[in-house]
Amino acid sequence: MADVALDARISEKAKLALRRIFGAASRATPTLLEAKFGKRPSWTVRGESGAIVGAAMVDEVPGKSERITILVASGPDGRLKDLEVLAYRESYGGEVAQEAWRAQFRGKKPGDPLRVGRQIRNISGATISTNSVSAGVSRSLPVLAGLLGIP
Amino acid sequence: MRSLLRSRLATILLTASGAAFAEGESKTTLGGYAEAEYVNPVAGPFAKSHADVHRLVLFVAHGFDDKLSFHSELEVEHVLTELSKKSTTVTTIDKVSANGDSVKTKSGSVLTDVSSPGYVAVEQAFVDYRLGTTAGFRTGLLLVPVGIVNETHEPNTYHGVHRPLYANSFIPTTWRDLGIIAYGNPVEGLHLKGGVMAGLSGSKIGGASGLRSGRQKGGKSNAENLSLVARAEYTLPFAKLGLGSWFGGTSGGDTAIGDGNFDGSVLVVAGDVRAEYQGLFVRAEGGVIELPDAEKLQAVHKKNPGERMVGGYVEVAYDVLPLLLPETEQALLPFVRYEKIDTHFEVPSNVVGNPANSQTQIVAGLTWKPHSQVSFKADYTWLRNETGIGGVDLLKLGVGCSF
Repeated sequence: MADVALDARISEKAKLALRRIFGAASRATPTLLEAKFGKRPSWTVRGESGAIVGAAMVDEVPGKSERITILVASGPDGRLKDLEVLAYRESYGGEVAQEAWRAQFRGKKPGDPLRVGRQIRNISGATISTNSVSAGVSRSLPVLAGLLGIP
Repeated sequence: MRSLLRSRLATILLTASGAAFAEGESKTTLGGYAEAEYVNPVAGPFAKSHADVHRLVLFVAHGFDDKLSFHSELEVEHVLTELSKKSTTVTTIDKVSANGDSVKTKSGSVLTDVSSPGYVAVEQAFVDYRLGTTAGFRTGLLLVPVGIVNETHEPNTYHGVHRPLYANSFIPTTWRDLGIIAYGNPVEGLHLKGGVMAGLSGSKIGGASGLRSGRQKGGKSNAENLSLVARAEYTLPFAKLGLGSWFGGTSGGDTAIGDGNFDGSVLVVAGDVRAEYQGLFVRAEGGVIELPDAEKLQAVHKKNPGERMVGGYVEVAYDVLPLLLPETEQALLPFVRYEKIDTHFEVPSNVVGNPANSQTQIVAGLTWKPHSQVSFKADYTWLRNETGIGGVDLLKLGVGCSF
C-alpha cells in the first residue's frame, strides 16, 4: 500500500489547517502513523493547558485521474472535528473542498456509515471525488481514535 | 481504483527498467469505461434484435507535476472496425446477337469496400495547465462544454441503456474538437469556463439529427470558422445548475454562404439541472438552437436544416434499495424519462418542415448499481414522431462500468 509523504507546500497547508481547526494557541506534535493502508503523517494536538484536544492525519484518495490529499481532524472524543482538502489536483470536481459539503462530516464517529447519496450528499459531476473523500474519512477516523487511545 | 492501477503500473515499470521508478512516483493513470447492450425492437418497423459492445473507452492520463497534466480518451465503438474488399463478378455486354442473346465479350471482378459497423476515435486529448488552485486552461482535443452528458458520459452516470435522445440528436454527444478553454472558480460554488474551438461543418447539418452530422471531431477539422464556447455551473447543497452555449459559423469558408468567421452561424443555448436528495434523483435539460443562416445553408448544401431546433427532457429516479435493506451499499433505481426534440421547430422558406423530426421518447426502466461505478440496466423505450408512423418500441438490457 502506498505511503503518504508531505512536500513543503502541503506541509505548510496542513499546519495552517491545524491552526484553523484547533486554534492559534494549539500545539501539534508530528508523528508517523502506520495504518493498515500505509504510513500517514499525523499529529497529536494539545491546547494551551497542555491537555490533548485532538489528533489529525493526512490521507490521499483517488480522484478521477489525480490524487486528492485531505486532512482529517478528530476531537478528543474521536469524533470528526473538521476535514480539509489540502490538494485537489484536477480541474473539475473540486466542489469537495466546499464548506457546505465538508460540514456534513463534522461530529461523525468511527464506524458511522458515510454513504454518498444517503448520509453524505453527492455532488453531481463529482461522484468519484465525493465517494473517495467519504471513504478516506471512514478509514481515517478509527486510526485517529487509536492514536487518541479511544477503544 | 485509479490509484491502485497507478501503483501497479509503477511496480511494473520498476520491474521492467530496474530502479528507474520508485513506487508512487509514476503519475501515469489508466482508466476507462465500457458498455454492452441487447436491444429488441418489440414493436415498429425495425424487426431485428441486436447485441453489441457499444463502447469500450480507455483513458490514459499523465501528471507531469501538480499543475501540468495530459489527458486522453481513446474509443472503440461496436467492437471492430475493418475495411474489407468484396469481390463482385462483372460482365460487360458488348453487343446483342441477331436472335436477341447478349454476347459476353469481357468478364472480370471488381473489388468494392465493405466496412464493418465499428468506429475508432480519439475523443479527448489535451494538456491541462492549472495556474492556481482555482483557475487554469486546457488545450487540445476538447469536449464542448454544453449539456450534462457531453462532458460526463460514463455509462454509470445516466439511466437507460442508451444516452438520452436529447444527448444524441439535439446536443450531438460526444461533441468535441480542437480548441482552448480557460476555467476558474471566481467564488465558491461557481465554476466558469470559456474558450475558442474549431467549428461545425454546415455541409451536413439538417434533418432529424440536427447538428449531429456537422461535427468535425478534430480530424483535420476545417478551422475557417472558430466558435466561441462557454459554460457556467453553480453548485447548491442539493443541486447543480448549468448553462452552456456554443456560437459559431459553419460556412467552412464557402463564399456562397459567406467567408466571415460567423457566417452560416449557429447558436446553441442549453441549460441543465441535477438534483438529488435522500435517494431521489431529478435531472432536466433543455435548449434551443438557432440557425439564422439556415436558408443559405439549404441553398448550398440541401440537407434540410431547421431554422430553430428545440429539445429537452425530465428524468426522475429513486433508490428503493435502502427501504428494503437499510445497510446496503448498493442502489436499485426505477426511473422514467420523458423527452421531446424537434429539429424542424421552425424551418427557412426553402425547406419543407418534416413532422417526423418532431420526436417524443419515453424511457422507463431499472438501474441496479452493485457499486457506484457499475450499472446493470433494463428499460422499455417508446419512441414516436408527429407523423404517427415509424414509431418504435424497444426493450433494452445493458451493462456498463467505469474505472
